[in-house]
Amino acid sequence: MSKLATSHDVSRAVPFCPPDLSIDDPVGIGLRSPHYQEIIDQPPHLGWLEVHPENYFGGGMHRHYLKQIRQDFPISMHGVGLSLGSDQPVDEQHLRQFKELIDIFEPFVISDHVSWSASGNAHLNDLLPLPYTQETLNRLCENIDRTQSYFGRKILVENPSTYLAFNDNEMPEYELLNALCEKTGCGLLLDINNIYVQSHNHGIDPIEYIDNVKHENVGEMHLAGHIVKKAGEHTILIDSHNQLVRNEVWDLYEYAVKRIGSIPTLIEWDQDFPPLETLVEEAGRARSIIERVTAGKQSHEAG
Amino acid sequence: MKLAKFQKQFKETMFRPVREIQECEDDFKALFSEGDISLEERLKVYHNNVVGSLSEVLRVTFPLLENLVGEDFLRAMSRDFIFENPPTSACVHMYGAGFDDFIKTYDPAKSLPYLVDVATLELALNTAYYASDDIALAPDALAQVPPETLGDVVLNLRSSTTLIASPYPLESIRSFCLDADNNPAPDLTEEHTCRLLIVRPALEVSIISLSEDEFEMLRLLQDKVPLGTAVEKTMDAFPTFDFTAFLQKHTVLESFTSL
Repeated sequence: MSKLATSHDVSRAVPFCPPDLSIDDPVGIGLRSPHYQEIIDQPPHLGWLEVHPENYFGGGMHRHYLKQIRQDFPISMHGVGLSLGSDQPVDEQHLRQFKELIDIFEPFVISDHVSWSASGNAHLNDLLPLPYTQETLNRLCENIDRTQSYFGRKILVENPSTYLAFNDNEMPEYELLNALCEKTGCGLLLDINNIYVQSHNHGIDPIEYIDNVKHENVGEMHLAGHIVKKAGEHTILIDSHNQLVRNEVWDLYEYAVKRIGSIPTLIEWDQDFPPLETLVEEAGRARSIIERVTAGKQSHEAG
Repeated sequence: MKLAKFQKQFKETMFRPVREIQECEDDFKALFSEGDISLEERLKVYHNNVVGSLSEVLRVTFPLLENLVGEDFLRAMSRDFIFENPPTSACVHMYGAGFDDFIKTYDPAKSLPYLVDVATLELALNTAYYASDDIALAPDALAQVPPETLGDVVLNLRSSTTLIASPYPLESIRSFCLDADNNPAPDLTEEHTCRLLIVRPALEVSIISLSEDEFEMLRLLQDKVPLGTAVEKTMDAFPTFDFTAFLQKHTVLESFTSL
């Protein structure tokens, strides 16, 4: 039984986490360079930190700080560059550099996205949308298999925010995610903000989405802020990672925790950085939701 | 449409000006349902993310250029560079190689020829900042080598190294850009060759001004010329070259990697 389970209910270990790398507080934040020194000087009340491995592929300052911070915090590695959905194999050099960091920093979970970024030799530096077809499913499975066998570990894949809708989708997004897990053994990083963004942008039901994702596959959740962009008379939500998590997303998160359980949860913030304190407060809000839901379940079971 | 073709067409749509975003092929357009929001608006979100994020990467890597030409000029120049030279790796903080060569061909920058070398300097600083960690040559390492084989030793420069020679006073330009209140405006009218070593001995990147003979010696070492031949060639060109002083200086500066 994991430390997480002893301090925060739930009847299972942190999914997809090697037992020796388990965490004892389920909430974390993304580690970004403006906060390095403050985190070293006064380690905040957080269970773990998440890094984008691509920022540490080189040496120097960033790796130096990460080595120091790793002494105080478990970390997760959240890739943004594997391009699992590209119609070409995951780049060997990228895998090698990623694996080197896994060996050094021993992340408790490893993840990337259900999206693509690379076409031929060009890398577009964004998480781009995919049609949900059998061809896409096969290609994603091949790349997830390749990645997992290279790392010697299972990874989590994250549901995307998208701004284009395909006519020839053959399945809903949650069905694609379930199929990926079933075929490759990977887990899900369920981004609650992305589900909310998808529900607005594509008119899907976020509750139905959460209900239909296979709960035992969920190994991590993400929370982030989004912006509302006007497009003519309508609006489109953009997953901007530069805002507080919106109340509607907190509500959806609470629902997800009730349905799925106490899952390691991350506050993501990638541009226009706020003071560290703001991120720690957001993480605290997630922790209190987990504790409230857990306490409710326990009293319900006791009653 | 097959996945590969969709991704190729999407890429081509991203790497052209936003005003041409609708000029994609009909079979590509037919892939998407528009709903309440037009395809153009939807594609623009991605175009803005892709081109905007890459422009921001370049802005962060080239602060001196931004200071010299202003944000709007740099953004326009970056956009044209991005369309012609998309990143080839997901490691985008290293993106920008070749920006200096691109500026050479960029018409609006023709009247500011020093921009090319400033870009070279900033690329070197960025390369050094993210270079892989390596170990400096220990001060007594060469003393351990038997004297008869010393000439055959290949003394490698640190993985973070770039050598730059320029007719413009790059260091003065940099100081002026970083702090115009306390530094004189650089004199760009006269040619005064500047030779620099950019290297990251530990965590901080150093910019070291070099004499002509020192620059030549380092250049030979960078080309993996054995120590004995490198000294000979440098002395042929610069008879007053002082190898002992050179070795001492660059051992202290940690310019070499361990043998």
